[in-house]
Amino acid sequence: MSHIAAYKTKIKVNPLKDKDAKLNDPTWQLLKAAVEATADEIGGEVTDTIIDYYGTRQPCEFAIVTPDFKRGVGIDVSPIDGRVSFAYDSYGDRPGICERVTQLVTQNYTAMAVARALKEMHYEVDYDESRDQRYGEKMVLIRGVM
Amino acid sequence: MPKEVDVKIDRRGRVETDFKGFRGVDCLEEAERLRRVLVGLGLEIEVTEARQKTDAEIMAEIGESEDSKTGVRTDG
Repeated sequence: MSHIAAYKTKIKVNPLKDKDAKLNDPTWQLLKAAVEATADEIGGEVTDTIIDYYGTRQPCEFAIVTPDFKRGVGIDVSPIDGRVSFAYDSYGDRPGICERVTQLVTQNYTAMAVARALKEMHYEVDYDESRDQRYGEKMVLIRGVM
Repeated sequence: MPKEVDVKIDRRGRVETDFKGFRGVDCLEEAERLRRVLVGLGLEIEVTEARQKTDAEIMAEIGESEDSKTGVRTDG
C-alpha cells in the first residue's frame, strides 16, 4: 500500500537560553539557516532588533530588515515551549514584506528540516524549487530515494 | 522498485507527501518514522488529508520503475 498525505506544520525549537547551547542545537541551527536563507532571498539583512511605528527598538532572537521595510520583521521563540512567532508593525508595509518574511521563514525551515530528516533516515536527497505558474509563488520539492 | 518519498512544501509551509514503492503498511510506518524525526528537528506536523493510492496510481508507479522491466511485482 502507498499513500498520499497533506499536513500543516508548526515550528517549535528547543527552548534554550544559553547561547552556546543554541549554537549546537539542531533546531536552532535550522532556524538560523532558514532566517539567513530568507534574508538572502529578499535582499535583506539579519539583525536582532525591530523598530515599531514610534521608533521604539524591540530586541528579538532574529530580525530581518530590508531596504523596503527598515523597521524589520522579528522572529521570536517562546522561552516556555519554543514556539516560533513573528513580530512586526506592518503599518506602511505596502510591498507585503512582513507576510513574505513570515511565509519564507516557515517554508525554508520546513524544507530544511524535511531534507535533513530524510538524510538521517538514510535516503539520498534531491532538493528543487519551482514557481507556481499562476501566482509565481515558490514551491519546494524534495525527493528522497532509498 | 526503489523506495521513494516525494515532499512538496508550499509558501505557507504546508507539506504534501507521496510515498512510493513501499509494501503493505510499510509506507504508514515510514511516514510515522519521518514524523518522529521531524519533531526532533523542531517541526510538528498534523495530518489534514490522507488517502490510499488507487490501483491505477500504483500500477503507474510500477510502470515507471526498473522492476517492471524484469517482471517484479510490488504492492506500492
